[in-house]
Amino acid sequence: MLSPARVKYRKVFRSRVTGFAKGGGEVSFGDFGLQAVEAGWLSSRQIEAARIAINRHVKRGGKLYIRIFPDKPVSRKPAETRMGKGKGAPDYWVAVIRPGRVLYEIEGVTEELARAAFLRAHHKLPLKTRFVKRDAL
Amino acid sequence: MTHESRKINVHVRTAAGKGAARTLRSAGKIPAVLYGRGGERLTLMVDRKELEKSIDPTRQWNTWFSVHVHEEGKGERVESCLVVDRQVHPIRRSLTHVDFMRVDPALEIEAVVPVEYTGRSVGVQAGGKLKTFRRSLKIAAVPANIPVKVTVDVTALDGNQTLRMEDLALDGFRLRERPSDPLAFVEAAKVKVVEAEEKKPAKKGKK
Repeated sequence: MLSPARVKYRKVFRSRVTGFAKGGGEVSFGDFGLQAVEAGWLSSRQIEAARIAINRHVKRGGKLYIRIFPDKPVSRKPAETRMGKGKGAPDYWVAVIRPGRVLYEIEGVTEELARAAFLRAHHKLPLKTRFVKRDAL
Repeated sequence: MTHESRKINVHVRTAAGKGAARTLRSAGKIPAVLYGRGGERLTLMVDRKELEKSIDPTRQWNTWFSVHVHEEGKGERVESCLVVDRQVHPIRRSLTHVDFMRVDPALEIEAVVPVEYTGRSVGVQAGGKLKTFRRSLKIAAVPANIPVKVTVDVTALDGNQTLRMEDLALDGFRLRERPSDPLAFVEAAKVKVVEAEEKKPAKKGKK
């Protein structure tokens, strides 16, 4: 699963996810992409589950690009703990996704196969997504 | 191969800033600017549907426009332009702003055109694999001669051969790329070399 090798601060604020994707909204590497159309967090487990779903469907054909990286730590308090006594320990990593962000790209496969593979990935993700193609220019 | 410019009507606007731009967009128009070739910089507004219709569907953003600028008190004038930059909404993909740049119809300008690979190469027929390196190319041409695409025929390419920029046949435009850069390469089929297995001496048991 994806996670940063090292970070400057172990714990960060949650913050709000507002606005649209500032960059990464175009299909830049592959021929087809899966684009988020709503905001939210994607955990490293969800990113990995979608990646596996795509690769299994295309039977390891083509080349897959993951355009997002989970670099935000999410902390959690242990079960049955009283409130207070400071912030919990880092538990998992998430990628902050804004509408318009291209999550995955694929090349070297047909459009039908890419659509079917991305549909399977979409079922693994907690966000609404859509299939996008590379612009000619 | 030459093509004619496409007409579009634009109006000079006086209001600037995000509030005015949002009002324009909600009225079906988009803000635009026009600059270049030492002329004055104009802030414009253009009808979004008219702009989308006037774009050549084959050339897309390499469309050569004759922009009819309407200005109050000054009447109408025509400028020869290309769209050099554009902004689109990240979800709706609708245009939110365009930059027109003046071009001289007699002078070369730089443009980026898509590449299309055609034919089945000799090397691929023999079991090899075609690898392509470029999706688009930078070219220089007069606005009327900007091609729709650059067609690259890979039929003659054999195994372990590379097609380079310098091998392209050009018609009416120049390449603005390094001549030695590769375009396509055919990876030859791997041939299994069956060698006569040497008879190895049988392993001796422990003494």
